Amino acid sequence: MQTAYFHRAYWSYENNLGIAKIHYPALGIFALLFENGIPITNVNFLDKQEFSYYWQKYQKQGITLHLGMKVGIDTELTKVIDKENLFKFTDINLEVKLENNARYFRPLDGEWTEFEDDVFVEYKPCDSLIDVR
Amino acid sequence: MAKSKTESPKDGALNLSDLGSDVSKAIVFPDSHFGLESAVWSNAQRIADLLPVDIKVFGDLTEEDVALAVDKAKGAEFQAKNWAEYSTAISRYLKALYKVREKQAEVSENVAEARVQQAELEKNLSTSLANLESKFRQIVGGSRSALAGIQDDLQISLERIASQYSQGKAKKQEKLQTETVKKEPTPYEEQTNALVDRFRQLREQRYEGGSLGITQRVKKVG
Repeated sequence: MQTAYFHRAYWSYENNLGIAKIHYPALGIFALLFENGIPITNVNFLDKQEFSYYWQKYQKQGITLHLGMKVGIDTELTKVIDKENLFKFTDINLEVKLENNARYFRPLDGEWTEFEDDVFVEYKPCDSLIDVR
Repeated sequence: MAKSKTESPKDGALNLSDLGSDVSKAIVFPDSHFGLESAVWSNAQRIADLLPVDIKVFGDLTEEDVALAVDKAKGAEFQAKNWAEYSTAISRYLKALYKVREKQAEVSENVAEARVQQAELEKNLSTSLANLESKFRQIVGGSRSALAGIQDDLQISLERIASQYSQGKAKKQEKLQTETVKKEPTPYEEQTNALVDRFRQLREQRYEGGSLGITQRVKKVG
């Protein structure tokens, strides 16, 4: 079985939404905004402004996003089914595909959406899952 | 705050010139009526940037910065707790491991000591066995030679006796023979012989058959 690290990097547990990072060798490290278990859009987590944008946006709705700093609590292993450049993350309702060096994502059996301003961050086993910049 | 006239290199790290003679770049606070100069603040920021975490030391703080700092503090506390538990666990583990090693060493030492003692015992046993064996051989050999001596003596005396006996016997025989050869029939002997002959002749005459026995005679009658 193959697994990826699913890290709720910027998350509100009460409202079940926020930005999660996914660490998986074949796809690198990427971040997606989830709302109620549905992937909405990808987020460039290298850009502090982008993080700030979402923090302020949800803050105005009365939702505080918390930094996921607890390994083992804010991070978890999730199952990956890898089939010909199509990656199914069944536990988190996500499918990602790689086509012509561009990544697409969708909820399971939903519409494909292309990653915006896609930033490839090479996967590497890091000292700290939390401190990936 | 006014920008400092000598812009420090923005590579984020302290360089050797910070330790050099240029006072404007020094961490030492220069004399000023309006508090610390911004160059000093940027030095402070650069020093803060040397830490492995992202921390603001000047400028404006937003609510977000504070919230994130709180989260980071919680995360760091969580890590500290984990590390502390890990540390005690590891030290316990290492202590136990040390104990284990110590005990293992003790066991090996005991085993080695036992080996030595066993070898010592074996050595003692073999020397005393060898001593005993040589003693045994001495005794057996001594007794054998003594026995052999006695046997020899015995044989010699037996032989002597035997030869004496046979000599005596031979002498006696010789003596006897010479005596019989020498001896003439005495008148008494002759007389007896003559009487026996006469008796036989008489009997033969009487029973025609001469020397026939009584059974043969009975058969003839039948």
